[in-house]
Amino acid sequence: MRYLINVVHDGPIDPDTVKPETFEAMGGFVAKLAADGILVDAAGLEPVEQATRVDLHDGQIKLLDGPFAEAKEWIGGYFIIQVRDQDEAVEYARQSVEIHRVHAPGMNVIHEVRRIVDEE
Amino acid sequence: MSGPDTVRRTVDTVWRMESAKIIAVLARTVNDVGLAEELASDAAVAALEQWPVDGVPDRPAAWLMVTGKRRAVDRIRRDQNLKTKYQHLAGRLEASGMAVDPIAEAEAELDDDIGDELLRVIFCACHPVLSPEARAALTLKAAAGLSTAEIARAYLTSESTVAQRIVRAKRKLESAGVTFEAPGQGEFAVRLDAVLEVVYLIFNEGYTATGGHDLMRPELCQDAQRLAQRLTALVPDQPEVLGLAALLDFQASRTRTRVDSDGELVPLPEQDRSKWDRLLIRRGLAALHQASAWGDDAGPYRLQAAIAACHARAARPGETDWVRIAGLYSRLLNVQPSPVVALNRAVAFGEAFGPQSGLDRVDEIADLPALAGYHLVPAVRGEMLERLGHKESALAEFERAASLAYNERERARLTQRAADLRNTI
Repeated sequence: MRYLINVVHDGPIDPDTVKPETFEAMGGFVAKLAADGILVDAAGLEPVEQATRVDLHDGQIKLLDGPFAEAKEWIGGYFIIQVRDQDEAVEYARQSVEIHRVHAPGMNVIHEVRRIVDEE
Repeated sequence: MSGPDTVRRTVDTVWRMESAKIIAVLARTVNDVGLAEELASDAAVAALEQWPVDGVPDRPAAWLMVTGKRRAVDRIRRDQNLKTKYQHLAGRLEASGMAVDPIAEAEAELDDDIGDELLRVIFCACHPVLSPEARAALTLKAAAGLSTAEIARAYLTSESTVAQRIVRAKRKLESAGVTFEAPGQGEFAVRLDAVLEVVYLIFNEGYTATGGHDLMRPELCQDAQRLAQRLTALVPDQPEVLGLAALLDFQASRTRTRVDSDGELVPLPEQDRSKWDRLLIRRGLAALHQASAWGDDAGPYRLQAAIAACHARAARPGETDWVRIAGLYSRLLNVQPSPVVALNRAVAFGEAFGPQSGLDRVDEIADLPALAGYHLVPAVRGEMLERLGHKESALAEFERAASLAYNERERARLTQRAADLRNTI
């Protein structure tokens, strides 16, 4: 089974203020996922200020450039892992959160564990 | 207190994720993979008994390891044979059991770089003294975190059969004097080949399921992929490991399209390529690219992966780089001479350089005893002859191929092919 783990922050993160140690710890975690044989893909996303939204609302298509003042959640990156079940995916998410707790004190972060649909 | 269901799920998850490491550390301690696997399994049973009462410990993997070590002390004390064998160990183990904080110590051991030990577990489980079935079972049990029941389900056999297979395998390792050591330099390549073969066979058991109603058992494919990925981290300097990992990813990328709704296999050119798994293809291409750093002297897995990559890269069958595939098959035939590779090479030559070239390559091998009665020989000849305009001879070949085909769908396809051709004559 495959899971997408979205790493969600409660506000924009300025990459310049993130300590190199945090990046290093996350890099180490990605290496661990690879060594455990389950990593399919992982990436960080550029700051949300550089993003563009293409919205369909009430039949109207609108383009909106960041920053998005009203947004409450910001996806900072993601992992895609191939594991045997959701418990395992959740445990990996927990480990990643633990790394944030230790190596990025003060940073709030949510890991959203979503199963990817298996097309049969 | 936690409910038994929650506890079972926790034990299952911890076991799946951490058992290979726990077994590796225990094996380092008792110098024996078979015993280490038993101790770790005992610890998991103990967890199922104790955790519902005492609650799930904060560091469950470390708990399992400490319990495994305590079991080792108990067993060595109780069993006279083990006593003699592990005399030197008992004291040390007891001391570590009485450490100020054994859980913290166990956790530190799990965090250590135990790549070497993990690799040794895999080498032992894939040891050439064992039968192929035993190697697969022991590898899945000791290195991939599968339970005996899961292995039994994957191989469509009973739990007791698998359990016996594993017990016998351990005995065999013991009687053959296999110790918990990495193979020496002179032996390394051969032993690594054996490991790769086991992983490939596990994958194929899931991919082309030999028994049962389902044509595929994707979980087993995923277990093999996971093992292959792990190996790329454990032995990063071996391009064939990357080649195998890539090959499995390319093959798995077609899982959704290689069987139709009637459960029949769909040939490559007819598969819906939009459903091929781009993520696995990407990971496969990355592994293959990494392997290319070792130069052009590729082994069989890398070459097969390179061939699969040519198909994976082609958005439409017509865009397939057959010239490259033909070259790769020639190289594959050199490193792994086999009639089936030679036949595939003939097909590739036909696509790359025209039907006469393909026909010549088939005729070089058509009389090999290994290919006698193999329906694909006349099928390929028929294909080439038809494209050359020799309709009568092509018809005869398709009819012969249909009479030899052992699969219903294949027979129907070839019979139809012959009928279509007959209408044009």
